[in-house]
Amino acid sequence: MPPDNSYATLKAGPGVAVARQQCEFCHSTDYIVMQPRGNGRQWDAVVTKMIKVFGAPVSEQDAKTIAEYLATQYGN
Amino acid sequence: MGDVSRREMMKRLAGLGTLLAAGVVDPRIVRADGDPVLAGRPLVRYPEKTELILLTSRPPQLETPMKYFDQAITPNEAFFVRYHVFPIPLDVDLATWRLRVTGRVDRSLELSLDDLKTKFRPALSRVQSRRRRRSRCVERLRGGQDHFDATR
Repeated sequence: MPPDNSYATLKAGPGVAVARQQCEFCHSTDYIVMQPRGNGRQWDAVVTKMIKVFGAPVSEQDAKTIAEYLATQYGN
Repeated sequence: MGDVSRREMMKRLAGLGTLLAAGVVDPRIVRADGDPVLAGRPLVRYPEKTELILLTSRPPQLETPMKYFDQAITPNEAFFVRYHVFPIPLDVDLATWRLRVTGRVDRSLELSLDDLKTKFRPALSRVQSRRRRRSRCVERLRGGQDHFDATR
């Protein structure tokens, strides 16, 4: 398999390390940067889906950190 | 898309088809070089595939380049790739590969590639990712939005 897409570098900001580690475990970060912008509620729903539907083993605290990071850096 | 229902969207798309057929809408808008979504996207090579347009790396979503669309049948190596979950097979052993038809059927089936080639009439079909038509919605929806079909 080729390496992950180089254009999919996550924006710097509080929580980026947690987001990178937890999200990249299952998928490349191009899935994140290509998404339409979303508010806190929308990103929270995305993170919840990853945990409840796809079974991502993310703690409650990390899920909160990731959703806040996404809403801040990829918000609208 | 907001409160526009899926049914309404299908009607609008059907209307767009009519406009295209009448030559009212410029069909060149789908060309990669004039398309802000496709422009500059890299070509990548994954196992058993030729160079395809990269949408996402892992799980891979790869699109068939436009140059294959002047052929009636898309070659296997250029056929689009969409994976959503693991595991992702890197090769397929056609000697042991089977298509299983199970679930709410009267009779379950297990067919080899040779069965498919010899026991059925050949048919041509357009294969379209279920996300395909959403890529042209003005308000983007979540998920991977690919753009092209393939034929086999």
